[in-house]
Amino acid sequence: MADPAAPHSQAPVLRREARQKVTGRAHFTSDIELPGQLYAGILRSPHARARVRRIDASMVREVAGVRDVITHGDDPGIRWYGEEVPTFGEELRFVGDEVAAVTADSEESVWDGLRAFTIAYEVLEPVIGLAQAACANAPLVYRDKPGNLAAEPQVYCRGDVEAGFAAADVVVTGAWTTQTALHNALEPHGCNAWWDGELLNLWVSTQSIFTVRNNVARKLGLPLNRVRVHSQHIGGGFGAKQVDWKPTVIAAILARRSNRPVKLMLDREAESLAAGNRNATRQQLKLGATRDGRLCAISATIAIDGGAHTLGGENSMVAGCYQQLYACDNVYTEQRQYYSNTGPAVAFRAPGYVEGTAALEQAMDELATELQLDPFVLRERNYTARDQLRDKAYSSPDALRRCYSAAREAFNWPLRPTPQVARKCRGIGMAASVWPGGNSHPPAYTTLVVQGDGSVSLLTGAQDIGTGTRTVLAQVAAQVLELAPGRVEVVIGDTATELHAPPSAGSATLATLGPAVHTAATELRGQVLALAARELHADVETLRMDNGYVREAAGSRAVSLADLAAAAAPGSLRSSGAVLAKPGASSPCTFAVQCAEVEVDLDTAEITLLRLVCAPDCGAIVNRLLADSQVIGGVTQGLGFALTEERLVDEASGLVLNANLEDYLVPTVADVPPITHAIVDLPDYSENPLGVKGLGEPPIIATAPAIVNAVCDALGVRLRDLPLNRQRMLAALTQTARPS
Amino acid sequence: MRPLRYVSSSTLDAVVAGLTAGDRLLAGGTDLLPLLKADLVHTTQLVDIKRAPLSGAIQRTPGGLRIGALATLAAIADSPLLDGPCSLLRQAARQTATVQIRNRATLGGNLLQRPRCWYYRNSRSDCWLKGGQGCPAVEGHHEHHAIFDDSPCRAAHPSDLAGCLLALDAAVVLYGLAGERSVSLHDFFRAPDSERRRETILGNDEIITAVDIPALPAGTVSIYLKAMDRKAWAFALVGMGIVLHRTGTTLDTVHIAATGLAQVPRRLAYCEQALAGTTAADVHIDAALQVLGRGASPLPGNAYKLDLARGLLERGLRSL
Repeated sequence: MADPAAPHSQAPVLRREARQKVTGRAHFTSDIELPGQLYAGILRSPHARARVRRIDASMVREVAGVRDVITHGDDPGIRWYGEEVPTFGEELRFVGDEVAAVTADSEESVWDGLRAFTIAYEVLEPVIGLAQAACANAPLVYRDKPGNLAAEPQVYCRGDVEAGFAAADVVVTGAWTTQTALHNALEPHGCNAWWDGELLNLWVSTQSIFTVRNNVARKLGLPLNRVRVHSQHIGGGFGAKQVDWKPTVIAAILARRSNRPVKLMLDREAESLAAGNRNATRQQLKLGATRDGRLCAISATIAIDGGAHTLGGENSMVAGCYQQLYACDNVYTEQRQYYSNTGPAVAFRAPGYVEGTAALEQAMDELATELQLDPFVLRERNYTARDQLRDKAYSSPDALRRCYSAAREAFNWPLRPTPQVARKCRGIGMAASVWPGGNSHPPAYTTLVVQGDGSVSLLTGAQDIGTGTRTVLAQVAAQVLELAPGRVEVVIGDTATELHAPPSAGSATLATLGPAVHTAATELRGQVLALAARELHADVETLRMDNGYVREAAGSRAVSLADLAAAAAPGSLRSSGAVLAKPGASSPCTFAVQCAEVEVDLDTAEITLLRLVCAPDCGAIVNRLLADSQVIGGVTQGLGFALTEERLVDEASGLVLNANLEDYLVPTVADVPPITHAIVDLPDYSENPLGVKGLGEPPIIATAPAIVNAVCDALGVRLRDLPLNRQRMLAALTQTARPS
Repeated sequence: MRPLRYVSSSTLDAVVAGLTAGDRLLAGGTDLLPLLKADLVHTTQLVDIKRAPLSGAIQRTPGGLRIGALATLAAIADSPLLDGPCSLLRQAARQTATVQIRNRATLGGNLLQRPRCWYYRNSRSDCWLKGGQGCPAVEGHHEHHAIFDDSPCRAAHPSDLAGCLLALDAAVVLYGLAGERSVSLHDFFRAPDSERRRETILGNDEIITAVDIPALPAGTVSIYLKAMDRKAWAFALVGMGIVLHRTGTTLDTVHIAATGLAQVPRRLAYCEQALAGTTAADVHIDAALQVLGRGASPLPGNAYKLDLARGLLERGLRSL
C-alpha cells in the first residue's frame, strides 16, 4: 500500500529552469555555437515523386563561403527507415526528400549554395492522399510494395462480431476521417556535430539521447563509446523527436569531412515537410448496442496515410481504443497503413489514440442520441475494469470512473449556462479516452551523490522535452532525503553519464525514472543514517534527516551532510537506482474524460469554445503546476486538431501548401477558452511505490471528440470529418433545424 | 551572397527616381521581407522610407480625413478621429494580423501587399501571377480563393482595410515622376490581367503618399465584420465592410465592400441597389442577400464563401 515517503503532495513547485527559459538564458540546440563552426543546409526535392538524373554541383562549389557538398554516394552506404532508403536518394518520394547537403561559413552562404545546384529530375506521377494510395491502379510508392501497403493489415478479433450485431437493437455506422497534423514544436529538429579527435559529440534536439547515440554509432560504424549526445533544453518534440533523423548523421559526416563543428538546424518549412506528422485516417465504423445501451459489437476498418516511409518509434495504434475503452465481447478491427508521396508520419502525442478516439467517441455520441441516453450514462453502462486487449485487469480499475465523476462535477454537466445569445446556439459534449502509456519503460538507471559540501547531485541519462523532468526528479529525491528540492541538482541530457533512460515518450518519464530515483534516494538515505549513527554513536532508529543534517530525534546532536561526506572518505556517499522490468500482473493504462461547451454562430458558422474541462488519470500528482501545464498544453493542441490544424497538400504536385505558421493555424491565445484541470489524483501502486503514472499524452486524446460532440449538440447535425473548418460548418448549418 | 544595399530616403523625388532603377521601398517590411526571402521580389537596394518626407498622420482636411501612408495599423486602430462614420476602419485594423505586425505595418504597405495565395507564395510552385501558365488553385486547394472570375489569377485580396476604404469611397494620393495624382480606390485596384500581373494600377515610378476619405454626412454608421479560420492572426475568409446613412427610416447611402471574394476588394453593387431607398426591412435584406452572388462563379471548394458573405452581410445590416 501507500509508501509514506511518496511525494504525493500535489506540490506546486516552480519548474527549476523557468526563469532561465523566460529570460532567454536556457541554451537550446539551436543556441549552441562552437568555435570554428560551419553551417549546413539540405537541398530538398521540389517534386513529390521523381528520379534524380544528374546533379551538377559545380556552381555550388563556386559560391563564396561554401566549403563542401555531399550527394548520394558520399555516405558509407547508410540505410534509413523500414524501407532501407539511402541518405540522399536517387529516387525521391516526397516534396522535401533529401537530395544533397552543403556546408558553408554562414547560413547565408548555405542558402546561396543550395540555390546554385543544377539538377535534372525525371518527374513521376505522385500518389497523394489515402484515396489515391488505396486506388487499384495507383502508381506504387515502392515497386516491391503492392497496393501501396506498408505492412500486412493488422487484424484483431475477439468474440463473434456478426452474432454481436445480430443481437443489437441499435446500430450506428459510417465513415469518419481525421486529417494530417503537424507537430510544430517551437524548436525545429537539428543538431551541432563536433569530432573531438575520435569522439563524436552531438548536440541534438531530441526526445531520446540514447536512441540517437545508438543509431548514429551503428549507422557510422562507430563503437558506442565514441559517440556522446548532449541535450540540455529542448523546445518541444511531441513525438517527432523520438527517432533519429537524417540531419544528425549528415552533420556528423560533414563535420568529419571538414574537421570542423557543423551546425544543421531545419527551418520551419523543412520542419513541416520532412520532420514527421500525425497520419491522416479514414475509419469505417459500426457499433451495435442493446436498447438499454450495452455494446454488443464494435467493428472498425481503418486506413492510415503513413507517407513515404515507415519511421519506427511508437506505432500509430488507431485500433487500440476500439479494443480497450469499453466493455464489449465482440470486437473486430482491421488497420492498414498506406504509403503516399508525402512526408512520413511519426508518433505525435498519443499516436493513433487521438485519431481513433476522435471517431469512436463521435460514434458513441451518435449512439447515445439514438438511444436517448445521456452520453455519460451510455459510457458508464459500458464500463470495463479490465483491459480486454491484454486480458488483464486495469491496474487502476476505478480510474476511468473517477475521471467521469471529476469531469462531470467540474463541468456541472449537463448544465447549460443561460441566457443564450440571439442567433447563436450552444452545445455541450464529452468524450472519454484510454491510453496504454503512462507507465514504466525500463531499463532506467540513476545515480545520487552527496558532494563534499553536502550538496546532492542526481544523475540520469534522461532529457527534458519541456515537461519539467528535472523538477519532478529533484522533488522525488528531496522528499526521501528530506531536503528542499532546490538542494538537489539534476544532471540530465548527456549520454556520458552512461545512465540509460527511456525516450521522453509514451508519458513514461516520471513513471520510469521516479521509482529509480526513489530507490536510489532510499538507499542513499540508509547510507547517510548509518554513517551518522557511527559518527554520533547513536542508534539509527533515533536519527532523522532534516534539510542537510542528520539529527537526533530526541537530543540536540546533529551532523551535516558535508561532515558525513568527509567522514565517508576515501569512500563516498553514493547510490544507484534502477528500474529493470515491469511487474506485468495488471495493465497500467491511463485515462481521461473531457467536456466542452461551444457556441456556434447561426449566420457565419463560427465556433467559439466557451469552456473545456479535462479530468485525466495520471496516478498520484507530484507537482500540480507541471500537471496543469501538461493538461493545458495537451488540450490546447487537441483543440487545434479539432478546429484549425491540417496539413494541406496539392494533389497534383504534392506540394505542402501551408508549410509555415501563417497558413498552418495553431491556436492563438484568443482561440483557447478557460481550461479546467479537474484533479483525479488517484495513486496507482501497481508499478511503483510513488503511485505515479505519466500525463504527457492523456490530456490531448479526448479533446477533439468532446468539441465535435458539443458542436453537434448545438446544431443537431453530425460532422464526421476533422477539422471543423468553415466550409464544413457552413454545410452543417444548411442542415440544421435550429432557428436562424 | 546576394548583395543588398540598405539606404535611407532623402526626398520624395529621389525615392521615385530610384523606383525606376529597381529600388524597393521599406516601411513596415511585414510583406516585403517575406517576399524577398521567398524570391518573389528581387532588388539590390532597399530604401527605407520611414524618414522620407512622408507622413503617418491621421488628420482632418477640408474635404474629410487624410491618413498618411506611413500610418501604422496600430495608429489606425487607436485613432479617435476614425470614430463615427469611419469606425469600420478601426474595427478592421484591430482585427488585422497581430499586435506586433500592427505596430510595424503601414497603411500604404497594407494596400500594396501581394496575394497570400499559397501557390503564389510557394517558391516550388509556378503560377500565372508569377509569370507562369495557369492558376494551380483552380484544380487544387482554393478554399481561400476568389469566387469571382475576373482574372487568370484566383487569389483573393487579403487587405481588411482596403475593403473598408473602398466602402468609404476613399482615394489614394500617388506621387511619381510626373507629380501627384489622386485615384479613387475603385480605379486603383484592378484585377490582374495579362498586361499587368498585379492588383493595382500603381505606376512603376509611383508611391502612395496618403489616403483621402471624403466627409460623410453626420449620422453615417459603419461596421466591418471579418470571418477567419481562427480568432486572431488570420486573413479574412470573407470581410464585409458596410457604410450606411438613413434619412428618417430610409437608407439614402448604402456602401458595401467585401474582401476575400475577388482578386481585388469588391463593392457589392447589386446588394447596394437592392437596399438603397428602402427601410432595410427583412424583405429588403432578403433581396440583397439574394443578389449577393450575382456574377460569381465559385469553385467547388470555395462556394461556402457565398454563404459566409451572406451571413456577414445580414449580421452587419441588422446591427446598424
